[in-house]
Amino acid sequence: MATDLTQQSAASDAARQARRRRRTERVWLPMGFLAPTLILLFTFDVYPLLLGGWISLWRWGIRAQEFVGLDNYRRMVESLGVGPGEGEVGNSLLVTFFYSVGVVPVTLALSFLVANMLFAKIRGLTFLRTAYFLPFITSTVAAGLAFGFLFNPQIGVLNGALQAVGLPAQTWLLDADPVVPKALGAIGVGWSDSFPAILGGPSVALLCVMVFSVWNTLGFGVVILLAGLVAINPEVHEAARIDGANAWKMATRITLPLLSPTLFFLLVVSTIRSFQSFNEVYVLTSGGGYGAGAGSPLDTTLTLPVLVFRYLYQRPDSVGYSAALSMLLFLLLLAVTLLQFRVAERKVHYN
Amino acid sequence: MVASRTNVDLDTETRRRPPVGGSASPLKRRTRRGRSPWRFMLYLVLIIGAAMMMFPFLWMLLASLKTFPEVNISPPTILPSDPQWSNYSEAWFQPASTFGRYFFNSFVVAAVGTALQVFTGITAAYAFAMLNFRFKNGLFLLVVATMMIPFEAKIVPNYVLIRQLPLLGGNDINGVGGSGLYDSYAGMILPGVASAFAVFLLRQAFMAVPRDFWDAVRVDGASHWTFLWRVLVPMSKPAIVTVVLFGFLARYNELLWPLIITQTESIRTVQLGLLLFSGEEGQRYNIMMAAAAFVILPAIILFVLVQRRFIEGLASFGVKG
Repeated sequence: MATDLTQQSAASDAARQARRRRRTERVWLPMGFLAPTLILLFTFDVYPLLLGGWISLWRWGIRAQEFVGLDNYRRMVESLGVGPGEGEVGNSLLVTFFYSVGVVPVTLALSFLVANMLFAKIRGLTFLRTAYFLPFITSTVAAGLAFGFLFNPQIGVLNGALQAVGLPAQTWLLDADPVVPKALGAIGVGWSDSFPAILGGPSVALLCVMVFSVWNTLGFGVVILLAGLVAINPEVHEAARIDGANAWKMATRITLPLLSPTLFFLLVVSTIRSFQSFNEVYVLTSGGGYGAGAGSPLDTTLTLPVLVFRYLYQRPDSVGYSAALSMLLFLLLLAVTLLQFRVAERKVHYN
Repeated sequence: MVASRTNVDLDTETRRRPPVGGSASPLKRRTRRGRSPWRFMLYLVLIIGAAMMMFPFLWMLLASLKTFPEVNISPPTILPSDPQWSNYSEAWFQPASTFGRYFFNSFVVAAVGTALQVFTGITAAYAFAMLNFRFKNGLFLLVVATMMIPFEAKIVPNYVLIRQLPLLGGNDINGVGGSGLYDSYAGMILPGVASAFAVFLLRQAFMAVPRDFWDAVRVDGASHWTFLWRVLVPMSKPAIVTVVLFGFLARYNELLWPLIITQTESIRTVQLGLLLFSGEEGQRYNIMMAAAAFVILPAIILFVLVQRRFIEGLASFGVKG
């Protein structure tokens, strides 16, 4: 009897121990591994979304001052007009739109081209790859200062080159005129001021910022696409070549479809990045120092993120309004990303 | 030398994947070598493109060696007539902006931030790759989804949050009274530590290691912790290097967050120092370009040191796991 009992309790002890070990294995161990990441992600990435929504309902300086409901949003909607002298939110949306629509497709197309060329097994590959990638790893501040120097109206090398071939010097980053009327004017076609602002295109200054941005982010696209190309089975290309496909057919019929998941990834990432354009605008257009003038000339380079910054950093008591603006940015980005997933992903070829 | 080594690397990279026989690559090489006018054009376009990419840097370096009158000549000269190496020491020792201090701050922020990011990324990736637990897939999706939250949407609330962290920086339990971690290294570092991108990339790398390795060390009684640091981490160097490179560069080059969350010049990072410097130096482009050049230098050195592994790391990211 007695021995029976001890045996029984020993067995249940072992069972309990096993259960405890399994519990450790399935609950406490994973939680231990995950806890730092989950806690930090929740605190600084997920919770801020909710907090941001809450702050946007307040007049908020360093601390909450007064609950104002949707006043910040009303103020935002009231400045949605587009055009000279109209609302700054509307204008900054237009600037962000120009920027995105200009930078993303150009960067994508150029990266595709360069990545395909670099994929050929050639001498000096490391050097060339580094040359294309270098702008991406350098700080926007340092590179922006270098571009500011190139674009300098008095002593910049661009005007030096223009004058050397007999063309008129430009003011580049200081030029608030829209590019389309300017270009048409150069070939003698007139323009009416009554045309909507969106037809005039970005200002010359914004175009300069966009050129900088393409230069700056091209290397990222190239490296991602190169990685995608490495992952494509070389036998596919080999088979096509034996069948007599030329370079153009290889690129459009084989490489492009097989690379489409990578291209799609790049499209989404580039679009998100282009909506977050702050550094390049801030460095190139603020006129030095801690950037009181970011968005100049005449706010024609004032993207939405720069506007968020302006209200957060430079206007006391406007933290609430700034939060409302960043909510707008977030919703916009969400909408565009979802749209891309709906429209573009259908064309993506997963194998 | 270096170039040919990388070519071989790319070849082994393609060869390593199962469906490819070892003979495919040499064959491909021979056929490509054959068409020389095509190759010449390829080189020409690539080199012109590379020259355009490098030109702003080159021009920066040339300007950094010119005298003040020479840098202001229009049209500009190309080569500095009398290289002024002293421009660099002048930029470095400008009393108003002490670059030594700025660099120190940048390295602290970038090194500590990256180390924490890699550590938390590795442990989380291990759980997602090797352990079984409830809600695993759901949690992983949630982590990945945080990648979609744009930085600008977080910046205002994080600014408020950092100032109101309870019991820190003179705050009471309700986060009132002081300024939290505002204007501190920790305030600059903490919000960016956890990175879904790092977790994702490392999980891909860990999952590529066959499970037999775990079964083998388990027989010897090794714990998950030992297996992770002794086996998995050494085998996943390319992915880890990629995370380190991206993490370090992102922090070293960061502008907006340090600008907003600090106030004291002596804890600010080198990018902010360079901005302040550009405001003070105004039109002295020769000195400014010298400063910009030495701010870029650490990033370039880091990239050159790790670039081979970095490309491998991205390649493993490209392969769908």
